[in-house]
This record gives sequence, structure tokens and C-alpha cells, in this order.
Amino acid sequence: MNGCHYTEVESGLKNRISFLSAPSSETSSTSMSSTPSFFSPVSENVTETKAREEDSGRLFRISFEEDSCENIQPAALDVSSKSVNAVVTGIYKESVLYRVQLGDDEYVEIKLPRALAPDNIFWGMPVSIELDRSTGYVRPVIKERQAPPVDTEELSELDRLIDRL
Amino acid sequence: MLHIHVLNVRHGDSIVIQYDGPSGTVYGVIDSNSTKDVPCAALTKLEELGASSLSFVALTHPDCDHYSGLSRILKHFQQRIAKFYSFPLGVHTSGRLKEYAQIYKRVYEKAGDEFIRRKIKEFIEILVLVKEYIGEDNWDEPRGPSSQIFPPGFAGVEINVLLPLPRLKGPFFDMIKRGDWDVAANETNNGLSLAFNLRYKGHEIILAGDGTAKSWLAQKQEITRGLKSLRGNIVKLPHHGAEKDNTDNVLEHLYGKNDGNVALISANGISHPAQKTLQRLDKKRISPYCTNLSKYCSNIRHIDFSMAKKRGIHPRLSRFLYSNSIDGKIHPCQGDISVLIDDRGELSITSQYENACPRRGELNFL
Repeated sequence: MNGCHYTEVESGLKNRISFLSAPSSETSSTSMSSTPSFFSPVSENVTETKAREEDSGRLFRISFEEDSCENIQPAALDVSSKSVNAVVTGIYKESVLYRVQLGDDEYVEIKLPRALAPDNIFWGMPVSIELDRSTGYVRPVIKERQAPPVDTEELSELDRLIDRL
Repeated sequence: MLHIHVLNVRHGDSIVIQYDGPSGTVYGVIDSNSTKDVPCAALTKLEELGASSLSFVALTHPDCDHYSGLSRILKHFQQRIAKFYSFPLGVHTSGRLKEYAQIYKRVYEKAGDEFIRRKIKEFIEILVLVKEYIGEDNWDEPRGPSSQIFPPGFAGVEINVLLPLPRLKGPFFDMIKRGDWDVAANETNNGLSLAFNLRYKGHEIILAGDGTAKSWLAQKQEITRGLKSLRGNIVKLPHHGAEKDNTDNVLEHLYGKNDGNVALISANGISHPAQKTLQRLDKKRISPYCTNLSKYCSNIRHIDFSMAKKRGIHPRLSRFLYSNSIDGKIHPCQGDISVLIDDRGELSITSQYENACPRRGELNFL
């Protein structure tokens, strides 16, 4: 049963496990049980199966729900951004470095395979990084994003510098 | 006496060379990097040493971990810098520098954040300052596979340029002509990196820049034809100890058949050096001196999983970012490293923190 729990973390399918005190003959149900579970309230759109744990004879209810983070809101998960802004800071043959902006002066640098990078990549390219789970696999999606506006004063200064070359 | 100070600038290079020669003490700088706390470690070091002028400044290649802070050095010393050595740019070709800077300006306009924009602006400013303070006549673009340079005041030290090879120049100039934005890509830049060797009192010190394995192996072919070989007994490893640029073949080429070899590694300890590089050094009994503590020498790996909560990033995305992160808390190992060769040819290495290193066998007594 622990395997199911890890599946939740790894695959994006939310499997919720609750202990039931139902009779051991019960093998399946599609109705909502009134038995208190670890995770409550359980939303209405779940499909449930019940399975007997072989050793103890206790019954588990396993609920599968697609992408239910937003629905259930356990304390550990807050509703938050699913995309982060980053900038390309290194382009190598097989990998690309991204400087991921976390706040005004905080960032983390990550290295990802070149194959994930946008086609027209260049040093300094503004990108957004998010995770796509639509296929059941977690896949990072890196897209070019709009560059922040340029300070015209700075740009003129740059022009003046180039004129001196 | 020849001193080579490899400064701890985290992920990047900054080397100050000090030579007490026949015409007094002279100084040279190879690359610069700035950190959050220290805007220009090389300038701080030069001020500490009492330098009032520079014999030369060299910029190995145009990656920002090699030029950040260089503008401060140029502004500080202004016309008191005799020579500037750079990767090939064709500065003597009319309009080339402008074309090159225009590409960076276009990248600036499309750049994703102020950090990159600041770096681009500084880079263009460096080109301008070199042109105005040092002058195009004193701006050289030396090339390998082995050509001697003569910065003023360094008589008695043989300084050779090993990289880049001349054949790389043409394709790079074509890229500038086409306005190709890849002139700013690291893969291109590392291929252009300058690398030096300094021969003094029977010792050979190689400062390998970010030279790639491909460049080093091509350089080997070229000098072997002229029946030469390298015999570095102290090597500042290429590309911060990256695995792909410090292959067994490259290390064999750089060190030749010398014994008692030393590797200087200028890196943050997190993204570089590679574990494989450290293992290769171990196998060849080369003693490493790393500016920062390698994550492979410790269990230090500060992963801040509270990022999700603090920064409002979805926990799943937060976990993904940290599992691919190359950052972490940097801990100095040796810190600044100084190599000294005295007038009798005695070599000594001192470091800022003098940490014992098991990879150098200093804890074998345990």
C-alpha cells in the first residue's frame, strides 16, 4: 500500500488512502463512505476502490483524483505559481543553464538538457519554466517569454558607448 | 620572485601575477569575476599588494565569470596599463568592434533580466575602456599553439600563449559579420579562450582558461609536430575542472611526464569541479588546491525546500528546481591560493585557509 502513496508524489495522480472499519466481505464501492478518513473532506468526483490488506484484514479506501492539489488544499500545499521566470545564462553543447528568479535578489541556477530548450535559444533569453503533467509524466516545459521593457535611458547610454568603439 | 595569486571568486577566474624582476615589481591580471560581496577581488588584491600600474591585463574569453569587475580595474589604473591581451576579435579591422558590440546590444534588448543586461553593459564598457585607456596599438590578440609574449617588466619569465588556435579566428569573425547571437554563447566563447604557460626557474605553470578538450588536443597535435611538449607542474585546470574538458588525455598533455604535480581549481565547489576530474587527479597523483570546497569532498548540500512556502512557488515545481539545481551554499576550501617561485627556484604554495586536504594525502597520518 505504501507504493500507492509514493505514486501520488511521483506521478501526479493523487491517491488517498484511508482506513475503513467496514466488514471484510465488502470489496468495492462507488458511494461515498461516511467513515472518517485521514483526508477530509473528500470531493465528490473521486472514484474509489477498496482493497483488503492481506495481513491485517483491514480495508483501505484508495481514491484517485486527477490533479487534485487545487481542490483539497492540504496544509503543506499552498496555492502558488506553477511557472517561474528564468533567464538563459549558459549554453553548452548538451546542456543549458538557467538562472531562475525567485524574488528580487534571490535566484537558483539549474542545468537542464539542451533538448528541452526553445529552438532559437540565445544567451540572456527570457524564459518561463513550468511542469506539464498532462501525459502522466512530469515534463518540464521551457518557453520563451516576453523580455522586460528596456530602459530607454540605459539603451541610449549603450549607444553612446558603442559610438566610442 | 614570481607569485601567482589565484583568487577565490566562486565560479569564475581571477588571477593576479606579481613578479619581482630586474626592473622592480610588476603586475599582471588574467580575468576577473565579481561576487555579491566583492565587486572585484583582483582590484582588492592589487591594492593590497600596492600596485600602482599594470604590465598587462588579459581577458581570456567573453564569459561574464571571466570579465565581471574588469571595468573597475580599467577605471582604477586607466592609462597605467601597458598591454591588453584578448581572445581574437580583430580589433585592428575597421568596424569589427562596433559590429561585435551591436550584437550584444541586440541581446541586451531581448535579455530576460537586469543581471544579464548589467553584464552586457559592463562588457561593452570594457571594450571601450581598453580602447581609450590602453589603445588599439597595445591591444594584442595572441594565439597558440605556442607563441611568446613580452609584457613589460617580465624579463626572466617566459610567457607563452597556448590557446586559442589560429584556425578558430575565421569562423568567429564570420559569426560577427553575420550578426550571429551565438557569439555570446558559452560553447563558442570557451573555444576561443586564451591559455598561457609561464616558465620560470625550471618550473612550468599553465593557466588554462576555459580551454576545451577539443582545443587542447588540437594544440597537442600542433606542438608535437614542432617536437615540443608541455610539462606543467602547476596547472590551473581548464574550465573550472569540468569533466568534459579535463579528460585523461588533456591532463596527460598538460602535465607531460612531470612528477609532483599540482592542480589549481578555481570553482564554486558546487557546479564545478566534477567528481570525475577529482578522481582523475587522484589516479594521476596530482595534488588539488580548490578555492572552494567540492560537494564531493563533503556532505554539504544545503537544499532549501522552504522555497515553496517563502516564494509562492508550487511545491512540485520547487522540488523540480532543487533537484536540478547547481547552486548551494558555497564553503571556501583553500580560498585564495598563492604560488611562489623564489629566486632559487624553490616552489611553495600557500592558501588563505590552509585546510588539510585528504586528496593531497595530508590526512594520511590518521
